[in-house]
Amino acid sequence: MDARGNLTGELTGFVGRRAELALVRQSLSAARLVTLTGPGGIGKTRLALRAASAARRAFRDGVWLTELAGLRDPALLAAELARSLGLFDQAAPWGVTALSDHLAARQALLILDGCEHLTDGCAVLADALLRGCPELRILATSRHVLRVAGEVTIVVPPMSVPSEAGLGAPGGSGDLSRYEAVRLFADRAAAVLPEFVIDDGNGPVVAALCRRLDGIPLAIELATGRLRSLSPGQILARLDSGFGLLSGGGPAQPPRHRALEGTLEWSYELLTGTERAAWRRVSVFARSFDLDAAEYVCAGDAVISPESVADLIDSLVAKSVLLRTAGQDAAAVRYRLLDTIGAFGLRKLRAEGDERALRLRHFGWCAALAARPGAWGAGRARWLAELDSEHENLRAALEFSLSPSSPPDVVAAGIGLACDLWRYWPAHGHLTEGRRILASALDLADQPAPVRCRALWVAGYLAIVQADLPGARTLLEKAITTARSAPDPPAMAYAAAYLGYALFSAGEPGEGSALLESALALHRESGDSVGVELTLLLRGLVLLCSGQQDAAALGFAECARLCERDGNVQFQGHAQWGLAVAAWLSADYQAAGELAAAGLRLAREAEDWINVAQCLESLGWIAVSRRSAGRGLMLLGAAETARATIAMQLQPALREYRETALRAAGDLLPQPAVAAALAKGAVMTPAEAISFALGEAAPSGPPPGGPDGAPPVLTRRELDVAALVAQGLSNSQIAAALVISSRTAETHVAHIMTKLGFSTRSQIAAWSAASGEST
Amino acid sequence: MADDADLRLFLVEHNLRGLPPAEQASAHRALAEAVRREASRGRRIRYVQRIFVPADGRCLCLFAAENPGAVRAVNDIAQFPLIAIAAVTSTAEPTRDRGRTAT
Repeated sequence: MDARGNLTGELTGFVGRRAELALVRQSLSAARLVTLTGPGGIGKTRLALRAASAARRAFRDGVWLTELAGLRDPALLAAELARSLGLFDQAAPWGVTALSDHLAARQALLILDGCEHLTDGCAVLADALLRGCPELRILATSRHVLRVAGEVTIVVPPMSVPSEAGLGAPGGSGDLSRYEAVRLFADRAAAVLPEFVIDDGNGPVVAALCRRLDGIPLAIELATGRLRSLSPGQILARLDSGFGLLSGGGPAQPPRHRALEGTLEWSYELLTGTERAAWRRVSVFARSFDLDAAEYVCAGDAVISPESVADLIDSLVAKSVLLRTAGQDAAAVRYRLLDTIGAFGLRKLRAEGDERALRLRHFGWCAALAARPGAWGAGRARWLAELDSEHENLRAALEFSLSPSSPPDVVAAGIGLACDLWRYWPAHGHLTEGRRILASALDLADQPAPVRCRALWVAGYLAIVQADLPGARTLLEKAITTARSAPDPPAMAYAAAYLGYALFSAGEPGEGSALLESALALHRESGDSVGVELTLLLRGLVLLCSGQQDAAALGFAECARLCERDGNVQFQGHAQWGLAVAAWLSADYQAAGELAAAGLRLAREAEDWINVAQCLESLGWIAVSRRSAGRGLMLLGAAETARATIAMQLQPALREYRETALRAAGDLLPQPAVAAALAKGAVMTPAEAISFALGEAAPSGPPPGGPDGAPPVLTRRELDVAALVAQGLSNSQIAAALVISSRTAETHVAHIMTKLGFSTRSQIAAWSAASGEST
Repeated sequence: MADDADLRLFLVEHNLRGLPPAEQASAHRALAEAVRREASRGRRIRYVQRIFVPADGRCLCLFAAENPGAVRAVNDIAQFPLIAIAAVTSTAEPTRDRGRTAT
């Protein structure tokens, strides 16, 4: 995780708001909690991100964004914030503790974006953090004030619009550019029509349009999306007639709400029937989706064919209903609905009576995604990244299926989805959420025994990973009881394996070992190779920690063979580690070193940070045994840091091995050198530690603004675009120069920012100048 | 609250093992604030009493509320995982001072 923060680049130009930016900056210097309020579409998020980005230098420990739109459960607020900060998702008596500990001595700015549906949770969390972290500042966006002591509220106004009287002033259209709404219109219009300029001919109409739209940025963007096919005058005329229909009768709505709602309604009505259907249907996605997902969920009936989805999505992008964004993999494209537009689409979907059917299709797509194999093999890192991209969709699907009002078959399917994600929950900071979802699911009306069994043992496994052994024991014992009565041998096997490990870890080795043996027999009988591999690993660890290294080695060797046959890269890495430790205990240091290095390579490939920490630790013991005390101590220091990052504890037996190695190193080196070597290892990044351990060239420091690891590689076209940005060209000018569409130019700029970790065009310009790239 | 005589009592168990005293105080402040906010929205809930068992880090919090959902809600808002919640009866006289945090 970049220590400077997690802000990403802006997709479109930021226009105006100079006064508001200055106000936010001043407020942040004086108050510790600043809340930007205002209705949907007014630009709160853009303003917050821009202000925070501009203020980054003032925060030594960075600026961190947590987007809350997709979160419905207030109990997960602290965990979500922790994930944004890159903290391990550990169990704690109070959810705020880990955040306070991390932020207490840090000078950072947190952005809590979209607090309105979790106002009280955000308020209580913000208050607790501000009390415990003296140098922390929080910038929140919300439709409602948080009502926290010391909070400064800034109501984000609409953009300035010219009055009717102002249009007759000398200077004509040139004066219009001093109105923010007009400048925004011009900027977004140029993205659609590169040749569009505001002149004396169209100036009054544009001004009237901006007034009609009350200067609301989202409404203006929706309107400019129509310029491909309509003139500003035609847009205004249609808006006028649309608003006339809307404004008659009904309860009074605030004018700004009418303007935005009216624009949304008008945009909707201008679409074809299939385009409207597409808007309604994509509104079930939470936050973003890709084309495959859209084809699965939205198509397949007489209204929308699978072949038409790509064109429909493209059309909605062109009309500013959807935003095109880059996925985690820069080559992947995702689409996103702004919250206000998505909420509108959902209302329309409900009005058509189609919401449930679409949510079931959305659930089906999520379930298929979770059921894809990928947790074990060479593609594990990619599998994790893909699920991470879809996390909000998975969350929405689980929320839908695990509602108390859902029928039993849907609840069962939802539990199945939560369980299918059992290897995903621990991977990227979703442990608390996974545990909470399963706990809530188990509280729902009685489910068939196989469904409950699986949920119980998966919940028990997650509790073990979060080091909640008492909680794990309770769940796994229930799983075994339920599995025994069902009967459900596969569930019994998993529950027994994990309970055996938990009991061993809790100091009951006899019962633990017996359970592991019975689990292994059950898995072999059922032919579950993953279960066999898993249990061999757990049993092997128990045997190692019990001093039975020969028996452990046999088990790890069998596991390694099976994993190689099955392509289970993650578990193979663990087996290599186990064999390494067994070899080390047998004083075969050469073999031990080779095996541990092999394990470390596999752990890196699988993004398995537990095994990375284990392998670094054992490589430290091996180095000390080979009398390379300095190297060994650095590895031990790096291992300690790696464990701390994931809140991992060493088993007591393994801790003894560590202590033995430290004493042996102390016999070889003077104490100051011991301390220095440990400290040197402790400050290594994971990538540096792995490279050091494997004798690889040290990874270079992050390129300016680039991600940690390999230097960013821009395509030839991206380099051209970067060079033109350095010349001060706007997106539309770049598009004209390269004979591409403005949207394509926008996308290239976004990709450049993502790859280089930048958030402003000036950073691109500086990088381009420094790297000497030019067209 | 106009008349909370018909509210039920619910006992919540938290595990505070390892939480320093200062953090315990912060957590309970957060819980009290969560109750205050929910009550201000018209939800009928009151934080009655807190009992701490230092020997094993258990904390028992007593709430008066309409239903267990209201009690879960305030604990969720306060980011305070609960181990168990149970409807209880009590012979002790709970404090009826509204708006005060129970000690």
